Amino acid sequence: MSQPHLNRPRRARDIGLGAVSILIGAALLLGSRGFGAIPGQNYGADTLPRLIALLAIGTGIAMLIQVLRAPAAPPGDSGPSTGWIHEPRAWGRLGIGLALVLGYALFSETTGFVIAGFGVVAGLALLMGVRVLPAIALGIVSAIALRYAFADILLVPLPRLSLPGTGG
Amino acid sequence: MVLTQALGLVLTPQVILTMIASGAFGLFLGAMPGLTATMATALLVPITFFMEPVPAIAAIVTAAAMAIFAGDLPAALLRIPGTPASAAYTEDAWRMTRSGRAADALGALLVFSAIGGILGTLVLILASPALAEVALKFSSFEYFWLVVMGLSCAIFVSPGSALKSMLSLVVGLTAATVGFDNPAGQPRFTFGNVDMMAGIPFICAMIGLFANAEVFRAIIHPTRLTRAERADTSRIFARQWHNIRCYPRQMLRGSALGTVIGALPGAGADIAAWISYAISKRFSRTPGKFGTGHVEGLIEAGSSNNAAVSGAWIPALVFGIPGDSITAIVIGVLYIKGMNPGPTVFLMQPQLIYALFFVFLLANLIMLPLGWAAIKLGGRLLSVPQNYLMPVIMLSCIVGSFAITNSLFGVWVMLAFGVIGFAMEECDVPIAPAILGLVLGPMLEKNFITSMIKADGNLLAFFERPIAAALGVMAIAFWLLPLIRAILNRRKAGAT
Amino acid sequence: MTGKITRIARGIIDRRAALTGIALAAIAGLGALPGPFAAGPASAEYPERPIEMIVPWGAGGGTDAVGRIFAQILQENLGQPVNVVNRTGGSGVVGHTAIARAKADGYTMGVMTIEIDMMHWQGLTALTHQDFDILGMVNADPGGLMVSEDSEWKDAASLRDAIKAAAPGTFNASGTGQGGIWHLNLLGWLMSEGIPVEAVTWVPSEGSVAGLTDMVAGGVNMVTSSLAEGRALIEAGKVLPLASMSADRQAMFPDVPTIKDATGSDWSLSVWRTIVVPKGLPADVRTRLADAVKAAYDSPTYQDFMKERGFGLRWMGPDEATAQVAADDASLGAVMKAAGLAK
Repeated sequence: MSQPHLNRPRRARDIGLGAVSILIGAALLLGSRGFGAIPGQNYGADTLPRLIALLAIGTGIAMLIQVLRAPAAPPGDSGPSTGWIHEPRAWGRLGIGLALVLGYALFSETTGFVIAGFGVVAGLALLMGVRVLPAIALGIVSAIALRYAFADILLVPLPRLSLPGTGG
Repeated sequence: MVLTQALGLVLTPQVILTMIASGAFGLFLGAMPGLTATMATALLVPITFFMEPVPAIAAIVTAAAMAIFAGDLPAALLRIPGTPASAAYTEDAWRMTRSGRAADALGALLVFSAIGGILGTLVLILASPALAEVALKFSSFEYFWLVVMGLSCAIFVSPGSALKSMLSLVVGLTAATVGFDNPAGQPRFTFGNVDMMAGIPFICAMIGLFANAEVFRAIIHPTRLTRAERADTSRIFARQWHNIRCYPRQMLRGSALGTVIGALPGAGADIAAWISYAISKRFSRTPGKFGTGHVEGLIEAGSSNNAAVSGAWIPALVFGIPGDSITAIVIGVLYIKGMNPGPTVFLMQPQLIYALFFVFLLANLIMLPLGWAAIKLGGRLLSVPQNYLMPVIMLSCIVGSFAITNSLFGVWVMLAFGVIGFAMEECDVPIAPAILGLVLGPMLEKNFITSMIKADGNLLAFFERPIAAALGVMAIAFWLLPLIRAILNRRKAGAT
Repeated sequence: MTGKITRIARGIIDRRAALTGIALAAIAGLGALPGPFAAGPASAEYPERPIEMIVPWGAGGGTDAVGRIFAQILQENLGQPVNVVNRTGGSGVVGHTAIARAKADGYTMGVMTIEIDMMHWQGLTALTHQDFDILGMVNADPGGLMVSEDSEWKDAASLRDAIKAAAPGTFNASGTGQGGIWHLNLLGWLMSEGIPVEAVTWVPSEGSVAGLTDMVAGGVNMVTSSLAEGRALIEAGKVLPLASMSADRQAMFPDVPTIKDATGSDWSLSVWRTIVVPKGLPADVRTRLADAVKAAYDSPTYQDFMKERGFGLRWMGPDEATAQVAADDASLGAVMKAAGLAK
């Protein structure tokens, strides 16, 4: 296996990945303690989680060894595309994007699909720099079009806004 | 005589019109993230109750074939694979589009999908009884090794570090342990939630890992908000003569392997595509180009997964054994139409069986013009500015995930995997192995546990049956060869 | 408005197959169809909007097929679309929970399967059949006993004697997952023959087709799923049916003896499908639905469909069906406790 030169951010990131892998393995081992075997057998619900755990821990340890043995990179080698990690604005944008989808998951049952869907599309469009009127138009058109295609033609039971007299 | 009768059944305006219409229907469903070929088939069933046998089957077969090709479209255009079977070459196809070769990539996917489907059908016509007998010899031992080979391919094929691919695979396999539907029949990691009993629905996870993560990246990186370069989708077919002449071996190898794997009821298009992609890379003169926008893997894996779809009809027609949910639905329709699958249908109603064969061939031919139109339409997506496109993609993903579970659970799963996928990509961890882990994890467990029960815990039993032994040796060689080569290289390096 | 497909399907009945192509084009073409907000005529009479039919099993399976044909016929009778919604996974827990928890307003109904009599014994859920109102039992398929064509044992009695004589674990069987309905079929049969339950090892499989193919490939000795599920392989001469776990021979397999005739065992088990609604529906709505279900069962469309698919026809009205479901609940509970599968 080749040993790439690693600058500091990459090094920290790869150590983190190794640790995550080991953590996944540990969590699987802990979580599968309560699983029993199939009656009359030595294996059962715990077999696959344990095997994956071993794979995960092995991968994690190998990653850590690889990072620690790799020589440091010459200065000037820029890291991966993680430049945004130090920008609070980027985190804010990501947070808003996530919140919009979360909002859909939480409120669509109450508001019905069209309103919740409009919120997601218009909100994301605004977030990505579309001007207000086009964003609203985009939201309305796409929410209605998707509702039509999925609920009316493909019969997906999308949440509907129940108003008396509309027949649902 | 029988052949002309069969042709007469197929070449009627009614059948042809039905095929074109249901082909367009399948295309629309397959191109939407979250809508599956299975769903297209299930929606057509009530309509087929009222049709003659041949148009009924023709409608379903065409819709299913088109839906599976259509899954390649968002893969190449937006880096969102429509099915796990297209995940193997999504990276290559998307990079080709990025570098202005959309016409070549989509043309190759279309033409070689059709070729794979046609070659698979020819095998079906000429050798189905014999192949079906072979397929019946596969028990859990053989399937276990096949799954191991599929998983190994994901690791060795992904560009970049093998360890990071392993990590990705671990994420997918871990997610696959959730739920109640495991061989031991015990609920795992459900945290008392009823929906979690069903496990992680992999299509929702796939939408999250690929599509959602892509939207998050677009939100974060404002530099990517520029108008994407317009994809040139002119002369879609022009390059394909060249591709056929350059890569005939890849095309035939992919189609052959795809047909054989597709004929096994316990394996399908996804394993076929991954193994074919790996074989293509392994025997390529330029393996380094794989994953950077190279057409070779597209050709082999693209013909392979469509050949697998044709191959799946072999056990379905000969023994009434469904290989996937689509063939299961079609077997049901066949029964209703009085064409009970089984060896007798070949003797009793040969004209109907030959009519079916013609339908299979025709479905793959109709794919060419319909696919061409779809590519032309889809190519326009690329000229839509990203900040208008991404919000709409997000909402389609939400609806698509909802449609898989028919509940908000699918949306939650998509969101969770969107965050995971985004984090993985930012850390240069490839996503594709996670999908494969999620799809093959349950198969791995099922075949391993049932084999262990049958063998009473004796691991040697995995090598006792001849086919199992051969597959097992191949799977192990897969892992040992790179290791041996690495050791030899190190020795050499140490010596100098 | 929903239900374009239905309308199109009806169009096909009217105009026969000549227009199928155009009808399908209408689905695909998203053409000149009314908009999503087009409101239906407001009417106070039930049903005034589409009805959901929840199927706890996946598209392509037998329960899905029964659910879809029922939805198809019911909507003719009720005058509103009946849309099939698959809520799958967790061996039926997810879907049955969704039916029971739905609003009891007559706009959600579902297909309840025998798994409702098993899941609460396993401690997976608190849900039992008492959380539903049964409108009717519409299908039942007896369990079976099948071996591979090249098996040493050609009848049920000699297979039973061989199992009795052999060491525990010599024989294995398959047909569903661990603790699934056909596993219980095997256990119940063994218990009725006075054979200890650990005599035959259960090899879990994903459905009976997977079990049957594994048996034909030489992986297991017998499969205890319904004979209907093995129909294609039986007709192909790959699988030999030994017995039917029912009081009478099955119409589709007249040559296969009942288990009583074959070995003298009293065991019987049929998987059934019932059409149910959540508890607490208004009485008039429930009566309307129950009548519609009975009429749908009697319709030639349903009768022909079931015969052609090879599914067993069986009708029980609400009271009779509830009694049968309760009886199965007790007998399956007893088997599961004896086998250590109950919590």
